[in-house]
Amino acid sequence: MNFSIEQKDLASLTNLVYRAASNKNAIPVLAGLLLSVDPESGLTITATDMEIGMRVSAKNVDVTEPGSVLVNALYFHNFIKSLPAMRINLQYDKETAKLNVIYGRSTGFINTYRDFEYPNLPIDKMEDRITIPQAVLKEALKKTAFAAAVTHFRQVFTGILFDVKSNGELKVVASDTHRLAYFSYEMEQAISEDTKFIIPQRTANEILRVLDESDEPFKIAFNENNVVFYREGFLLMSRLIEGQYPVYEQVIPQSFSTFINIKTSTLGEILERARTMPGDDSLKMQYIQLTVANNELRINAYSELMGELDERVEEVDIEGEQDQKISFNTNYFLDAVRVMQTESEDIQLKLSGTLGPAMIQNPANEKYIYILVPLRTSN
Amino acid sequence: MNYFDEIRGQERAVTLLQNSIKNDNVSHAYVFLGPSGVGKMLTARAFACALLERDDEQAAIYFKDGIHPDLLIIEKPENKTTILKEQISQGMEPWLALKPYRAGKRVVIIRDAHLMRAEAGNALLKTLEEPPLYAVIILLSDEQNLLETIMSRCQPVRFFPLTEPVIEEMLTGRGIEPEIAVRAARLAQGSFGDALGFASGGEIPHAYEIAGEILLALAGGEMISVFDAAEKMEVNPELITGMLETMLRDLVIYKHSGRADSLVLPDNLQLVQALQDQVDPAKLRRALQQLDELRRNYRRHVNALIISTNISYTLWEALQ
Repeated sequence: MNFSIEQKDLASLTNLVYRAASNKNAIPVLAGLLLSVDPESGLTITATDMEIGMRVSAKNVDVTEPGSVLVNALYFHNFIKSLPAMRINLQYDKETAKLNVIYGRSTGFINTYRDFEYPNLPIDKMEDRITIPQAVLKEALKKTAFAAAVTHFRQVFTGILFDVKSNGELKVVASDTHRLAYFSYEMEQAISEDTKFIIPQRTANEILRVLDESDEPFKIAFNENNVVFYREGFLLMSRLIEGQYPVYEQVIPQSFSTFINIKTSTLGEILERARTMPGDDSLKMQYIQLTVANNELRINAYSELMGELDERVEEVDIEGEQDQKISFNTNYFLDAVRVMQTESEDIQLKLSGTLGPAMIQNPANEKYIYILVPLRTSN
Repeated sequence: MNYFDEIRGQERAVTLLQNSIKNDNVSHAYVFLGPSGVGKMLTARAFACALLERDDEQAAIYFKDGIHPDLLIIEKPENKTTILKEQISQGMEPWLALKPYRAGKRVVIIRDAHLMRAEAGNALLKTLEEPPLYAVIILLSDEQNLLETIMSRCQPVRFFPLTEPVIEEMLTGRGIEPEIAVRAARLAQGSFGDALGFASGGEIPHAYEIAGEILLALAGGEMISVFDAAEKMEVNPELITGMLETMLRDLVIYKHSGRADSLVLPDNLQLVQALQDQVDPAKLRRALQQLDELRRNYRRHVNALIISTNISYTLWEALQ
């Protein structure tokens, strides 16, 4: 094997994949990156552990001799990353089983795995593709993935649901049962039948790392057990989570009693301040209480240990029923506000009674909904 | 590759499992029941490999290192005496919720399932009641102490003590001297695991010497010698108890038959002759039974010295 490539191109490729290699040393080859070059397809790098698999490729290489080697992912990535920005040449020496790296007048070498057997990514028999612009996929995951549970006895809540309707509606949903984030999008194409699948949170986070704001199409294919997200030069394979996702539509309230419009930045600041109040013994979480009365909104955070915060919100617009008290988990509320901060000056909060779920929305965008279940507090 | 080739003396279990794969009639849960050290784990691994290999042509790459993305082995943590509830609810459950990565099934092996307490058992029950279609859960149990509700949801597969010739052959196959292999096989009472432990530890001659000394001391001693004996047993309580048991048995047999060739261990002859005038076979038989029950406690969470004291006392009493 012998090929040349720009250092920054190679470094950005290894940066994408090296994390998919296993960092546990149970199976030595899984700690490796498989580099393959071939004059037609260029350079392909594959990494997989027991959970996910990634493959990236680049055409801008000069291949003198095709072949493939397996190198330790972490060392290779760190080494390539640290090289000067210039065209580098990589040559495999069969006799010594070393990969020589030549940069300018200097050289280095990396030991490789001899006579290795590397598992293929099990991506045959994939079908049912859907295509969405990269920026949309990024938005969908960024706005929902955080709402999934880290651990939950119902495992489906640790994942993110992709609910694809045959008419081309795509809904991306995540919930930990205390809150629910919902993103919808109309795809340009219809698909043959309604489909649902649930991806693990780690998969969502790994994809988020590679997505950018472009409109370049990203494709999703899946089979019974696995899902593949791919675009030209990039592929990520992940397992799916087994189980029936609850009917989330039922959780989204259809009517509300009170509508509150607030400046996103104002609300964000108040919640950040409220977060300094620690949770108390009875309710082991930080919470705020909203009081709506006389066309005014008060936000109160109380901690027996620390003190109290009592804010009167300026520039607030209230419609519907007054005289309501309702409590929310401060952090869950803030998560939603942070999402809104990037896109809207105003935030709309819709309440349906003291114990009914509340909805948080950008008033100008109905594609994204955040449902927050209030807390039962003693006062 | 036939992963079942290495298993000896468990033809019934192996045939049953092989047929279930052949006829595509694999159950979602099994209990492998039988004494320790007779091949339950080996069989479970073989079964898992055979199942996973059906859909993953490259499974062998993983098996070489004893793992596979679709195989989970749950063992008691080293510093604990039970299998913890968390290992089931936080280890197995989320793992099983992920669909198979490469194979068509996901296999969980729970080793020493008899060490599960009720909480862990109940956590497991939740999965056993509604397992995902691709799940195959194999419980390995040395004792029949699993919850009734667990047993009723699993297909039982019985494992039997191995015969002495099989153990001997397996030991010599591992390069152990035939002479030691014979003795270890006799003492292990059907468990290859124990036999291997006895044989490879190189402790047999030493332990045998101690067992002989203990017996003679107890036969001629005051009650206080019981504590001495128990302390001597600390070297390797299970092995020494096993030896004491064979000695008692030989005593009974020799007393009845007077024939040296019917002894379990030929080396016992001298000892047996020395003691035979003062033994009462009925008392010894009762002691043997008690011994068998007492020695099981070594595998439970009981202080070994207390068990050894009990065993010594039983012997002392039987020899008066």
